[in-house]
Amino acid sequence: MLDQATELMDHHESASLWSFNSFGLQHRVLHSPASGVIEIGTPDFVQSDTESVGRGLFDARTLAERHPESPTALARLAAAEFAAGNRVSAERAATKVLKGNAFDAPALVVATHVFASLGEFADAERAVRKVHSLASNDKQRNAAASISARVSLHYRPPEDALGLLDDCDDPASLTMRAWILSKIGRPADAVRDLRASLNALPDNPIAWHELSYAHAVLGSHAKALKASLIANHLAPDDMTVLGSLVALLAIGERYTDAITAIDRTVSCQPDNLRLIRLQAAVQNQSGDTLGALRRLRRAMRTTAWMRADLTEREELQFDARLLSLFEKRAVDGPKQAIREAVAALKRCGYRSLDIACYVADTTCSVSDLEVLERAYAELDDPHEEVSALLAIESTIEYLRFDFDASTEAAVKRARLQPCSETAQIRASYMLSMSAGDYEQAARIGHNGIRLGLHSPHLRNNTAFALAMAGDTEAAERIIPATDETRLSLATAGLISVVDGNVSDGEAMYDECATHMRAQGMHDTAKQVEMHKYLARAVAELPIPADALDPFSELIETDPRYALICTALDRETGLASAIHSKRGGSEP
Amino acid sequence: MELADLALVDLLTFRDQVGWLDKLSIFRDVVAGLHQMHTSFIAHRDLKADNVLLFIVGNRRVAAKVSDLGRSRDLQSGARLDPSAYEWGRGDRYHAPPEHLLGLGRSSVDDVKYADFYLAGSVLCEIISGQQMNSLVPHISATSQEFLALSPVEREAMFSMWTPIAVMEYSNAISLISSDIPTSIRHQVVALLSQLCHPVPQMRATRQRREQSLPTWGLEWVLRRVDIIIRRLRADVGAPSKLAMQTGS
Repeated sequence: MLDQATELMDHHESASLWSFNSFGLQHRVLHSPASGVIEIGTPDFVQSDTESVGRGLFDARTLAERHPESPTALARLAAAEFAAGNRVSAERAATKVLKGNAFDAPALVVATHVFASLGEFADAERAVRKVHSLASNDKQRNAAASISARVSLHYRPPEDALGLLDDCDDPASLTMRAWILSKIGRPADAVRDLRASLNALPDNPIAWHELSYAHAVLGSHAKALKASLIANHLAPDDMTVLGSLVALLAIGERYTDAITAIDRTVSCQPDNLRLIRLQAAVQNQSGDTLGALRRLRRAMRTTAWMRADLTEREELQFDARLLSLFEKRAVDGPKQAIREAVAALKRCGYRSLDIACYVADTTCSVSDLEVLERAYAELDDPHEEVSALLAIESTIEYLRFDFDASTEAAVKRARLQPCSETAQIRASYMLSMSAGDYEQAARIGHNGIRLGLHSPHLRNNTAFALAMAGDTEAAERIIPATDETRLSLATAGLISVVDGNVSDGEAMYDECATHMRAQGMHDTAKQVEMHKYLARAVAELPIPADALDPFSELIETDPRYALICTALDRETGLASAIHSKRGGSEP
Repeated sequence: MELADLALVDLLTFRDQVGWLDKLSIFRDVVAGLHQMHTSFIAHRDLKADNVLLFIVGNRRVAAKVSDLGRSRDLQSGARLDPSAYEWGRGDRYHAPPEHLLGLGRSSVDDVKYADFYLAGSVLCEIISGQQMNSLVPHISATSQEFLALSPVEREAMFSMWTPIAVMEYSNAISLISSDIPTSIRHQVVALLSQLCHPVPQMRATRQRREQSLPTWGLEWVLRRVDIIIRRLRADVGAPSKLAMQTGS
């Protein structure tokens, strides 16, 4: 029920958190036909090859001077100017192609790519529409529609791109359509299109990977695993596919199979330290923390280590330190881990997505906001929706007290990472607390549980969402039977209060808070107390006017308390009344 | 030294006025030139329409000759540079095969020849469409940037994932430019172009050579296929080769 971050501040159960931040099954964001990105910007390598650029540009300019009206020459010029980084000249030449009277399909195709690369999507669309009108058969129409959809994805809602692909039945268009369907939350339709695409072109690892992802979002572990195995067979060296397979095998507790799968890739890429880290993560998750630690330390004596860059080294060293902390089970281990992560992040110039994501997933301290903001600025890619970046974005907004934005990023991330327990836990909790969307919160939880995620926190958050929505029967069915942290006691209390057994329910809350205090988790205990008022609010019971007084300072400074206050406010209006009475600002 | 009447790249600007028999004849000459170089153990590495010169010979026939051997390489003398110098290719990047754009070039004889096969395909693409193959394939530069950030081993790994996407992209690009090709030869021309410009270098060789790992000497197989296409086109149009074009010289 309580925020996962809170819980992690006080406990030692971060194995699942650490394991698959950047490795788990993800909606692919590479430049696949599906992701449909026509790159915006100038290819750096071309700019660096000045001799080639100069010569190519000279040739193209000379040709355009000799044939100033020729769409062929103008399109060649547009491509050459763009490659040389001359954006204005490139656009001018492409515009001439578009405005010219001659219908030269190849020149228009080149102009489309140039416009799209320059971010001039309206012109790109006009050019590709001309290409489409020139198409004389289905294959050409499909190809034009495919480009058109890609351009559309850049500046229109995904549904528009979907419409452009309505009549296409070639594998590339079907894969792209499936990708869009997954993106807009229609995984069942995506599965249908991917099956059709794979019927026509069965050797496409991207389509198998997308199929695995869609099945995972639907909560079908067996089907997701089957598709992922095929994708891995077709592209054994691909890290994204491998990461997905490993995540799915780990969910099924098939740790040996996961390590064997990684071994196959290690044999081709013995110097890849990420693979070693992935193996160690699986080993740790299987319970062999010492073995994982030994594996990482062995890697630090290899030539690959000597050749690795600073970020790779910091990541591996940080993993080892983290495992060492887990192994010792020190009381302040989690806090120390965050301190270590922040230090490592600074050492590598904020360039590690994995470490930044770790900080984002574990911290709830406003003092880490600046570090995360710097890392985000360093790592952000405006053209790609990267799940680990969404994790950072969500935490940044959370620490800025912008819970709506935080929820939005958390939900996007949960969609991209169906196998990540942390992602599902976060999204489910934020949806309940910030947005009050208990149905979606419960749905996310249910899908994760159906997929095989066994975190008691996910069950707890799902039960919390169900109880808040009034479905106490379903909440009782899903509440974890065993929960080391005893947070489920508070959820059980909520269920009792909502069911009308107020005194029993409140007693459970008190017991939970007492337990937390006994464990030295005073922050968590205070939050449990605030949650008790939330339970009363949901049950429409009176709440003392000074109920939040003991928390007023914390609400102003700590997002964990402010979030509970937001939920209370939504349920009762109480918090805002208290704030306005005091003349204080609302968090 | 002979004085050329025209460069092929100029012809591209009024290619709709040039008959298909003449276009194929020019491409045949280019392939013959490259074949001659390969059988003499020389790789061109910078083949493109700008480097193909046209000569009016005899009864208004146009002959094409491959020129500019500034970046060519004697394959018998072995690589002169460190292998890493070949990762990003040695010729013009605008026309370079994808393995060079993705930093996966190698210095072996076969790899250099596969790169020339791609360049020959790109010239065919220019003859058909007026544009080089790379301009017609979307986001190859973006992919290139993605690969740029990786180590050589990671690039190899990513290539296997990129390949099926690339095959579809190239196929789309080729189908978009195929409408101008006469129906009677469209299938064969598209097949030849798809093979020569295949994103996977080994796939540019003939199946027999691939399966039996034979060395990639010569381009007889391309010449044979072009001859068959020309014969088919002649049978279709029922006319001998005639050049109906302006030379502008």
